[in-house]
Amino acid sequence: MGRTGRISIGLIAALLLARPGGADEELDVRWSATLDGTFKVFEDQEADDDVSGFFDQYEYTPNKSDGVPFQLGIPEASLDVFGEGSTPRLQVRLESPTSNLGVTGRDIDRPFLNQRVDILGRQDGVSVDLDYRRFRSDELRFYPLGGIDLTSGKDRFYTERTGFLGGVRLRFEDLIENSPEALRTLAPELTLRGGYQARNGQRQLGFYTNNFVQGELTQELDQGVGDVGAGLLLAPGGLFTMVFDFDHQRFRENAPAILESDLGAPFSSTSGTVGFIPDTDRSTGSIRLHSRIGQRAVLTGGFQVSHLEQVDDFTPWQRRDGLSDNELMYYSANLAADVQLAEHFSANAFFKYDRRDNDIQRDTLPFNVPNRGAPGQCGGSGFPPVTYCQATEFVDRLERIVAGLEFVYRPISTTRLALGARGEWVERDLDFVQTPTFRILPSNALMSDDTEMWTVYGRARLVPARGLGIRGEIGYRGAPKTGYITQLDDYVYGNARVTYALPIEHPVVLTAFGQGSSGRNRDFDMVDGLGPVPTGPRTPRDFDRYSWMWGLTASTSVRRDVGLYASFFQSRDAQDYDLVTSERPLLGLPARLNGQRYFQDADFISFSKNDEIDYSTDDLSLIAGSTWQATSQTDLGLSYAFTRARTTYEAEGPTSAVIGDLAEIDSSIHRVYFDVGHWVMEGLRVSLGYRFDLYDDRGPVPPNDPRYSVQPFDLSTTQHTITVGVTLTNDLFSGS
Amino acid sequence: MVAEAAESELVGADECEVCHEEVGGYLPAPDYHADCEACHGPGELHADSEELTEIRFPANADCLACHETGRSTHMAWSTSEHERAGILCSDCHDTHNREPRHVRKASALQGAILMHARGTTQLCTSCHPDVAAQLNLPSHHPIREGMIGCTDCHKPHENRRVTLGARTALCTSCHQDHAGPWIFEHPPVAEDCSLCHSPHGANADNLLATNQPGACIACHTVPLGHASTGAATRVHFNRCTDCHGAVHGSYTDAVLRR
Repeated sequence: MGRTGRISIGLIAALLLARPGGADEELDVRWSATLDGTFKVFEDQEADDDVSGFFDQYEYTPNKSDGVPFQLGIPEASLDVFGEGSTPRLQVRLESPTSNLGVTGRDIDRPFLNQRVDILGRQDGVSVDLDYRRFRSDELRFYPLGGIDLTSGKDRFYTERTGFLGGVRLRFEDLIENSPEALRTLAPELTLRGGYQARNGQRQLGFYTNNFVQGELTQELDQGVGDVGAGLLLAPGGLFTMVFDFDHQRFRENAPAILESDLGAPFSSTSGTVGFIPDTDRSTGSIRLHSRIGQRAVLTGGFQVSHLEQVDDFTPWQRRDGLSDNELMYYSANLAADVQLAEHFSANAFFKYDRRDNDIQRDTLPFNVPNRGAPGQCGGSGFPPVTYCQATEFVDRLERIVAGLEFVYRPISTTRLALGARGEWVERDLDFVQTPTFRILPSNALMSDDTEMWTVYGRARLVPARGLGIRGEIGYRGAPKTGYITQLDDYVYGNARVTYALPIEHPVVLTAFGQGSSGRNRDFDMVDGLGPVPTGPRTPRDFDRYSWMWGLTASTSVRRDVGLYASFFQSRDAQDYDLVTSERPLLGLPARLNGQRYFQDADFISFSKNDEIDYSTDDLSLIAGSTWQATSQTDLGLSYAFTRARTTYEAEGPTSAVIGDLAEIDSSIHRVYFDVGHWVMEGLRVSLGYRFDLYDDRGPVPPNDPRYSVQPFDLSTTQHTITVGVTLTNDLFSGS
Repeated sequence: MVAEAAESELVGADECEVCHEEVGGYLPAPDYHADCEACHGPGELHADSEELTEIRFPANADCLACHETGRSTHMAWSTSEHERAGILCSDCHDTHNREPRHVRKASALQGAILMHARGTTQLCTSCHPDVAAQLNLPSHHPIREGMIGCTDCHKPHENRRVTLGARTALCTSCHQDHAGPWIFEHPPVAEDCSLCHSPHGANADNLLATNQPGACIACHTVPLGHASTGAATRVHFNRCTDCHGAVHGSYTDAVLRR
């Protein structure tokens, strides 16, 4: 905080001190700031400082354990500095969702948590853009009863992020007085950018070890992300624009790696790590191009290369076996064009190519038979076989092409009709493990090495009558090959949005929107048999999905000083799919429930449909409210918002015992907000607000278990927030 | 369509200000936007007749005349989705105001739907109400709370289908600890985060588009056996990540358990 704060102040000072108009130039400073005091009253579990409640995930509240938690803060402030003319030389915007400039209780030494400052500065030829943030996000605890709890009774896991990202842009032709012709022709612009973000906190992490012990622990996070970059733009003669960019990012996790042996008995491995987070360097270079060819065509394109590499910190296993050359290469290229074909006709097209190469050392321990030692002992002494053997399919290389072509008819400016097609092709170079006895076979892989999908669609935007606007799209997607079972074939979709302003005395603006889609996947099945190329009967794994949503918003002014609004939204997402399992037991577990894919080299495996799952998500939200400008100085607002989120599973077979109630979600969020503000005089406004938040979690709560130091609790929470604010602007002191 | 103002003559901004003392509460506009006729065209006929049809309302081409060539921020606008959807620059920007980047103020309705969100977020959701609804779901990025905004992830002046970089690049620009490179990686993580996550909002924790175990068993089918082995206390293992905590990738375990 201190470091970044000083940088911000320094930049502001530099901009203010640099006065191109001369030392006598008058600076016009305009500002406003709101100071508020917030009182909160909690009900239920959230009133404990050591508990992450539902709302803390998004709006961290300090000092919840106080009888009436009190915060004093600056939720918003702005500063504009003008020199000669009317161009703002400096603009500062501060937003702080949960200000705590001063707070009661133990969080008093952690001010300004959750805030954001944007600073923009502009001089002739120089512009500065700085974004400073500090915020915190909590994670809700989970309760995997049945394992070992190593969270030390913690019930609050959070991450604080503090950092800035900024840049300076230099336009030399404006910067240099009487710049030479060559400079004006090239019109170069240099951008220098950089930033740093520190992240501190903890996360709860579930794990499972080779000695069959499940648990969860608290993992400390101490991360730093540094960015530097530069860009050079050239626009020779205005014929085209070309931008070269280079960026380097340095990510470091400074918290020590957790070894299994650190966890104490019964864990003993000094080689294995839990939740290891690597240090990485990423370098990215790109070139982008734009050209307008006459008045009829525009062309954009670019190419990018990015390299991500694990550096500095390696696990004991990596160090022992020299597995330190661990890197990824990304390549990306694009092209997009828009061409006017005739007076009312145009066409546009896009193309993008991506490639990802996983350059991990494939000749090292986990992947290569000769290095594995005894069969099933790929890790060698001290490295249990299941753990250190690559068992599943591995994406060695991935290439993707997406492309589209669209023809547009535009008879008048408000009407646009388009027909188009787009496709996606993915080629995966999947590497399957060579060692028998425990591996996935290509025949029963969960993903395929190709994706081919194409879509045809029609799109329209119309204004058929005054005040009426319609836009929508309808399309069909075929997928001869899908990469994952959740990718849909025979997929139809449509969406529409209609806006209508009723031409009555007090206009009512209505917006209705909706969309729906349906598709399926029939590409995946499991093959019975023995050996690397089983030839037995196939058991299909069918996947079907449909979804829809619709909504309506309305707003009106029933009187000149009274506004009303309402918004409704409802959606459904439904999935049906088969669970296909085998009769091959694993690790002492019952047949038909486990290990169905891994042992086909050694055993004859037969598959059958174990269950059929119906999953659905239903969401609904309603918002309504009103504003009233009671007098020229006084305004009031009242609103209510409701969100209902439900998720249900249905299964008829053995699965039903597992994913029944406990996997379901049924929660509601209610929010009521009232505020009144009054301008006491020019430049001084006072306000009073009240907010009611209720999170009603009707989902199941796991039963208490004596093995846990923190017992499961109901997340339902009610909080009342009262805010008293004072807003000051420079007009208060202007003497007007 | 407004009448072509080609026959009109330039009159200068001072003449405009005779009637238009302010525009939307703002005047003077910043210097670079202070020449009214640079965007609205010659104003002589309009000044004489005061007819709306005698002055040009700027189209995107008027903005791009200055903001396209030689500007890295708008060089892809003409091939963007927003351009093809017929969005006007002035739908989102008010060139007369003095807000940073001249972002237009959202309506009272959007202000109420996402009360504490940043102004740009409120503005975006006026055309994307379905996204606004998703931001209100139990699991969401802290967007409605104003800690991040739409433009932290989205570039409204570009076509997202062709933005340079891998599909995971956007997410891992903030979530570097999920970027790898792993020794054992979960293939969907290498390909596209949205195969599992719904970034705007979801019912399930961690923005999972489908609540566990559905997010996992739709592909994997197998793990439910773990939970029905007769150990009564394991009945609560309906979160696959309780054991497979390293679900994005691991340096130790081929099946991502630590």
